[in-house]
Formats: sequence, structure tokens, C-alpha cells
Amino acid sequence: MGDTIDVEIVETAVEVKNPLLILAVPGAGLVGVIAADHLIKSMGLKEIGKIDSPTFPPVIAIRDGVAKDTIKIYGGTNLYVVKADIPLPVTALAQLTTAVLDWIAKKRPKLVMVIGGIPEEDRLKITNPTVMKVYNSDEAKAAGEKIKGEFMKDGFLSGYAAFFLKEASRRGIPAVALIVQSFAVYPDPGAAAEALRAIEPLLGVELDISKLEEESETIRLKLKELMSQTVKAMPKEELSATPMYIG
Amino acid sequence: MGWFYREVRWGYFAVRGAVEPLSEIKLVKDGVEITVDLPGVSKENLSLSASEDAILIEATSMVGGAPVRYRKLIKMPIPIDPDGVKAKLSENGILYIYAPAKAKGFRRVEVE
Repeated sequence: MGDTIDVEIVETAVEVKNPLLILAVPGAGLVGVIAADHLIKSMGLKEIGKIDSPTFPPVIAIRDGVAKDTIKIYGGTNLYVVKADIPLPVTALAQLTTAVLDWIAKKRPKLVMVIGGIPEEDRLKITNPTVMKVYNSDEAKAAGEKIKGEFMKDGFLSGYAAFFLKEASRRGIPAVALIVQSFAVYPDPGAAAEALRAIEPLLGVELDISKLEEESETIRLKLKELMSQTVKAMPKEELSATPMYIG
Repeated sequence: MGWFYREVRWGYFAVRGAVEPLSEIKLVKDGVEITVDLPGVSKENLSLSASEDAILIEATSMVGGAPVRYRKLIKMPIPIDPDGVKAKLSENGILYIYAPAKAKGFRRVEVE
């Protein structure tokens, strides 16, 4: 775990100093991926790099007959978004995360963020899912003070978000995990919309979230197969309705 | 290593004919709870049939201006009472089904 030697990061744009980084990987409700997709479109972020490793699953995306990378880096003014369009096994996910953190550490980031879903058994009855946030330091809390949502106050957090925060701490990087109540096994654009509402003040831009809600049905259908593959790749405990957060 | 050799086709563009919707099955105290993700489906375009060992869902919808046909046969983990099956479709197209377990069918036997 954590061996980054085999992970290659190719960056093709001029690097940004003190950026904000958002990492989105497939998980419960595909909340991070849907939020990142919308962020990239609405902010007009450009594809500026890719991440690959021989240890990642041999899967490529195909668009109009041409193979495309599945883990890409997008960039804009003081912002990077790293998005994985394939579910990764636990070891590969750990390698990707540590490689991204090693890469971003050199740019002295203001804040790094992971957006994800937390399976909520009663999600069907919830109109506005709750956004919860947990920081890895007081410095991170200050850097992300504009982020809306409820603090996770006392308790324990396990799973990918906890891994991300710990690895960021080991590198002295201020980090926040934004976790939204979501469906476990269905793509959840509604939860992604709440995550975007929470980070809008931090980004200082309007993200036209109503458009995401309007396209909810198309997104759910389009991401059906990715969701299905993600469910197969994820550890069962990450998909269970048992909260990862115990407070 | 099975996944290494398997061709994975993602994206609904690759799907021919009916789309198999995502679903989740949960055994509860008195039966089975099922949810099915049916983007764009309304009650009028949804058909649900039940037998003692399976539930069949068929539906049509328009998503992003394109017609979509859904079909899914869900095998029940325990025998159910098809007459007692209840279903509710949420506004956002998630179908909730409750299927009560089939009664054990024990009856009192008089001993002569």
C-alpha cells in the first residue's frame, strides 16, 4: 500500500501554485464523479494531464472509436480536479491517492478535497441530503471555512475518506472530506448537487446546479454501468447502510 | 484474474434492446424489499408482475429525448405471496416494492 513508483502522472499545462485540488473517484452513489463532471463542464476546466499505472485495471474509455484515458487531471484558475472514470480495486485506489498527494504536495496546495457519498438507508425519503465535512487540521478548517455543511464533531470515520485525510496529514497537506448522504447503489445526482452547493462559496463561482438537476435522469442512465462496476469493485462495508461515521 | 480477459462495455450507448435497470434486494423481517432505479419512468408506463419466486418489471420512458425500454426479472430469495405485493414509484423514478413472505401454510391437523 502506498507505493507510488508505478504510478505515472503526466501534466501538460503550466503548473499552478497554492491550488485547490478536488479528487473524485467512483464510490457510493457516484457522488464525487457526478459532482466533478458538473464542475468541469460549468467552470470550463481543461484536460491538462492523465494518471496511469500498470497496476491499474486494463480498462480504457472509447469515444468515437478512439481510446481515451480513464483517470484525468483537469485544471483552471487555482483549481485542479482529478477524476477517475473507472472503479479501482482498493490497492490501486490507495496508489492513486498517494501519487496524487505526492504530486500536489510540491505545489503547496491551499486545500485538497475528496467528495463522496455515504449510503443512507432512508435516502428515498430525503429531499435535501445532508453534507458533512471533516478536516484533517485547524489549518484545513481555516482554508475551507467557506464550505457549507455540518461538521462531523466527535466520533470515528473509516473507509476511503479516512485514508485520504490520513495520507494528506502525513504529507502536511490541509485536507477536507465532504461526505453527502446518498444512495448506495444508484447514481445520485441529487447528492452531488448538494455537495456542489456546499463548495460554491469556496470556489466563488455559480455552478448552475439546476442544470445538473434537470439532467438527473440522463446522468443516472448514462452512469448505470459505471455504478454497477463500482458496486462490484467496492468493499461491501463501504456500500452497506451502516454509517462509516460513528459519532 | 477473470476481469483481465473480460471485455467490459460501459455506457448505455452499447446497450441493444432493453436496458436492465439497477436494483437492490433486501431481506426484511416479514418478506423482501426491492428498489429499482428507473430514470424517467412514470406510473402509466410501468408494468409489474409477481409470482411466488420472481418479480418482472417492464417500463418505457423518454430520457434526454431518446426512448428507453427497461426490463428486469428479479428472482426472489424466498417464496413470496404475489397477491400481497405492494409497490410505489417515487417522483424521481425509483420503484419501491414490498413482497411479503409466503405464509408457511401450516394448518392444524386433527389427530384421531
